[in-house]
Amino acid sequence: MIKDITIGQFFPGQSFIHKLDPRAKIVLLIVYIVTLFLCKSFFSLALMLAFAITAVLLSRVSPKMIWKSMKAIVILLVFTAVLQIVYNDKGDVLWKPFENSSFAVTTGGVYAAVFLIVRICALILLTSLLTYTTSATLLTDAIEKLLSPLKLLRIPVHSLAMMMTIALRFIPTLLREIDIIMSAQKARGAMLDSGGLGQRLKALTSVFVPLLVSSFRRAAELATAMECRCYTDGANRTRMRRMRFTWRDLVAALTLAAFAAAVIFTSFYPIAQTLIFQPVIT
Amino acid sequence: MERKDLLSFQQVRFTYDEEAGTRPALQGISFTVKEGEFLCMLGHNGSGKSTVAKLANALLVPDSGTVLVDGADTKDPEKQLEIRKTVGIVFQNPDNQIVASIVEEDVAFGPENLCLPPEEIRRRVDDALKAVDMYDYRLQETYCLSGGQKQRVAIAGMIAMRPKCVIFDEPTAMLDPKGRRSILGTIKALNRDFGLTVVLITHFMEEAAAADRVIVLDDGKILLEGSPREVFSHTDTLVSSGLEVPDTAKLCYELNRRGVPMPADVLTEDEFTGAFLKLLKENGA
Amino acid sequence: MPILEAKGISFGYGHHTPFEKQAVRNVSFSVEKGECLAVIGHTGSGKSTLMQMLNGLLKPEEGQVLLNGEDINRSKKTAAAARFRVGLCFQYPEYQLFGETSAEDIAFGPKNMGLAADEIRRRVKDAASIVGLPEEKLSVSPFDLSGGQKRRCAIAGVIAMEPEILILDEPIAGLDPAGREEILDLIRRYRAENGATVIIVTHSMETAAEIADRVLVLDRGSVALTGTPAEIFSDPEKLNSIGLDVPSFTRIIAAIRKAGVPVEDAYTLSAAADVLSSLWKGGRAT
Repeated sequence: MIKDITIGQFFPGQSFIHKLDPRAKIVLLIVYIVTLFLCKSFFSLALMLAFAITAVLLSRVSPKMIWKSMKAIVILLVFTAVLQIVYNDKGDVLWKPFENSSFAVTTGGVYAAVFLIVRICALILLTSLLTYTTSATLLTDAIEKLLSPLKLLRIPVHSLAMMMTIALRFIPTLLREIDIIMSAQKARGAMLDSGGLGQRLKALTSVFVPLLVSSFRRAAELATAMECRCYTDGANRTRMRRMRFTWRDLVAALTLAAFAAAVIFTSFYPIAQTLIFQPVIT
Repeated sequence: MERKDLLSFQQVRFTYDEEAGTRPALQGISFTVKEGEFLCMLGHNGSGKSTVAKLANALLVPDSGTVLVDGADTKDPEKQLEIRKTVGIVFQNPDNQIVASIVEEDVAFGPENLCLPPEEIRRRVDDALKAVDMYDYRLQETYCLSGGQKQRVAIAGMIAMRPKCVIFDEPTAMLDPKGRRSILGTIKALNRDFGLTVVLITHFMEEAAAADRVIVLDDGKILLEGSPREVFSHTDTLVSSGLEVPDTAKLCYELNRRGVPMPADVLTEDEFTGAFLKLLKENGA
Repeated sequence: MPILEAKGISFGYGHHTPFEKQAVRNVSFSVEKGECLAVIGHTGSGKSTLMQMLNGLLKPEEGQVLLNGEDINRSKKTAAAARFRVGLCFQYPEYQLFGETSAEDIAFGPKNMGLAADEIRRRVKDAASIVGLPEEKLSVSPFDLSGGQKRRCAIAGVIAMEPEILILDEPIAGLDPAGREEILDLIRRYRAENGATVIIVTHSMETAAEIADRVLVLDRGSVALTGTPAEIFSDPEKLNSIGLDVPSFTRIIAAIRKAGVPVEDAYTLSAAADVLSSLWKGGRAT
């Protein structure tokens, strides 16, 4: 059900993670993701997962909500895992179901599948944590700040950020609206989840047209309201919240740096690799 | 003490789509709003009342005639920003005037556009949220709020800009009775406690009872003007112009039609009961 | 046997999240053929969720919905068929218009029912005449209709399915007095001509008093009160405790009675005017 979507939701709080500077959070997330893709061993991957889980625990966001955001990608995970198992033929053969074909489940395939799943989970975990602990406005403000050098290239960074704020603000509104329109058309027998292609297309029109009409109306009304509230091009707007780097950001940055160093060390130095764990090259 | 005119319409005419040959939305209307006044503007859908709001805020400029806001002509592009700082508008649909996802961030939107320093914005946002009784919700997501609460956030967003006058354009039309009462209470309190000049545009006559003065618009012209009591006594004129007449007025009207000489200017249920009992007494004696 | 019966139905949203909400809790009631039932409650009382269970859009988590004695959720097929048998018109239905012409929009439901072209044409014409949409408006875009006409066109789209029960969710919300009277007239006409069963969801006591045979008051997802309008409005304290008002006419009559004048009950404008004028005339005669 559309109402159950939680991605992009914000849970207000006062935790260590909430109090980090949003700019720091974005940069750290990018560093984290890059490091995640440098991981070559299970040990380094476990380190990164531990980092993500610690961050989640520090944020005090309910694990249930985290689980909900993960649930949405379970199908994707299963799919990629199956692909890895089917197409990877490195390592020892574990199971050969068909005598005549070359298809076989190998250790390499299973390792790669597990590796991929853990990697994607860690990625989703920390990315959703960013949106769970940072309000949309702060997030876009931070992106605007981080991208401000682009203003020199005459890219309208502020307008883009404003568009993003508004888009994020209207996502729940539009989702609810879609839900209502869909229910209303279903009440008139619209074949939204059954019937042939033609019927479905017709049924989709019955949702799409009203949605478009109302979106245009909303856009026009919002523009008037913003004008009324003295919004011009927004170039010189001040902000209620000043973003400041604090000791927290320093602690977070140093911790991540330590983890990243460990990952790079274990992944790229052969001695460390043989000492700690067998590498998995996918 | 003579209060000065904050808002002044002089012979204002306005037509939306000149070429299509449509009827003018406003056909030369004149009125003023004094500082600190609570004016209610009544009219059915399409009577031109929403056009008045947009003209007062320089979102539209008149085809002919003049609109003066605190002495500034809305036709002067240089004055537009000043005019919008003086007169704010709260619209009908709260969903389409909230810009940010979090309550306090939305209220901060206006002051941020005024380029105020962060400390001042924080102070104004907190004050505005307290004034509309939404301070406890400041960190909530706007989309989780009820219609009435959203509308109060929209009002806070307007008064955080510290305008002298706020025009409420059918602020209760999309709310249920509970939300409607809470918004009306908020509007009255802003006028009474903070001296805010209020123009309330509505088609619910009941909402006009609290106003200092009432103007009834019909077909872009002023049909009636006066105190709520004076205006309410013209029940038949109001009904025929498609207005939402209070139940007591409807009942008086129906009783008059049935030959009962009820006075025409009763406003409240208590006044009605009193007047009817008095009639009975005169009769039964 | 009642035409529609809800037996202990419940429904909740967002289970296992911080936003969990039990929208409808163990609700039971029945509607007789030809009856007009008003369901009253303020926003968030679970009215809309309840209505979507009555036509099979939502499946109750507990309990049953019986249509002519049979559970509509027996199978997927019966649940889908229930949408045509219990016509549900949503709040602000004009926001769901999409057809190129009004006729096409009204025909959407009948087309989905798989009816023949002739039958569809007849139903569109009949539905338009019931809601009072002029015939020449059938060939224009629904977006070019006036506000009140749009609403009536959308209601016609549900009526054209010729449902056994018509449910209207807040049919007069956001309309001015003239538009409101048109819709109420339409409902009266529809009932008079077709002997139709109608459920009206509203938060207006005055509307319920004027049009309903029976009233069901919902409060936080449960049935708080049920009875004829007279029975419901005779207990203003109970209504006030759940944040609802009795019609102002009822309050006026009550105040006059409190002053020691014996007077009959009345809860609509015309009834109150009749009662009070005859009281006054009676007084003059003595």
